[in-house]
Amino acid sequence: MGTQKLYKGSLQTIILKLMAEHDKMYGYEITQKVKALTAGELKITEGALYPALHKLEAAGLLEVSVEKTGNRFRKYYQLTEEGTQETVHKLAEMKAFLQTMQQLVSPKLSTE
Amino acid sequence: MGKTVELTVEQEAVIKNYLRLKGLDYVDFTAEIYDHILSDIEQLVAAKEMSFQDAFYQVQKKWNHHLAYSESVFIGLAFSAPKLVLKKIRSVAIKNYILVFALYFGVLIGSFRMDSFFSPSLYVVDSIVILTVLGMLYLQYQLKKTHLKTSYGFLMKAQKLAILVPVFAGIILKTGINTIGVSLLVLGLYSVFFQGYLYRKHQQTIVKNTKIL
Repeated sequence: MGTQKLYKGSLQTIILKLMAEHDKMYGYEITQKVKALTAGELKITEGALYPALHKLEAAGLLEVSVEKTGNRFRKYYQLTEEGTQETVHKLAEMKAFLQTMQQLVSPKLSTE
Repeated sequence: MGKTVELTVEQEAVIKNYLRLKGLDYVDFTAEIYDHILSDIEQLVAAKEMSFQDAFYQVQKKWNHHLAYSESVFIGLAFSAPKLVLKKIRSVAIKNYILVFALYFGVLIGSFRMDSFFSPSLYVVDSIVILTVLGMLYLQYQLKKTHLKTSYGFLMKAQKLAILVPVFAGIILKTGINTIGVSLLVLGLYSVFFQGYLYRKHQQTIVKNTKIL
């Protein structure tokens, strides 16, 4: 539960990174991918995922396409050009943040 | 994603009914959440060999919290919606409040300094009051006419009491031009623009989701 709070602020970066590695993804697929990649350590809650996806779409970082799957329609998200640039920027920010945290938490490791 | 099974039409109807009972009839969410729940159940049935009832029960346990009706102080305690919807528009509502306060106090402080030349006539004041009230009434009527719900439409509905702001401004300014009245008048004008923005987003959301409605 504690680590989930730490991940909370990184949700948009996680989504953008996943999108950068896939042509297009839908909501359920994102939750399953994150669960698989982190061996169940990180579970994106649906209540946080969809508002985040909609915010990224409203900001022009993601675009939506709709496809019919069986009897239903499925909304796919993919990165826009602006979103691709923002992903690079967000990942650089994340790396800098992780390095700073590393220096704070285990200074010996970071100097090695 | 592994092997999946397709649900029957009756089972799909059960899920649609669940979403309807939960009040998730917001077009920006309904189809997407429906697809998510179906995918989740199909996966549980296929991978864990659960019955539809068991899988649906598991999925409901997960979603009940996100779909529970709630209120937000930033949107208005008299207006409730599923938590998922509130979460999406809370940041829009917060940004609006920051702008409202900045605008109100900005005009309040600014109009003290501009006192000598910022003094609209009562005729101009009345015209602005009438225009803002009519503008808000028109936008709220247009919203009601669409018959479809979106998160932005919900926030716009919660803003309908803003119509009182230009009315109060008009009443205060009847006694003569003063800074509080002018500040409220500017806020009234801003409210029309904000509601116009929300209405545009509401329409865009409907258009975007037309295919999957």
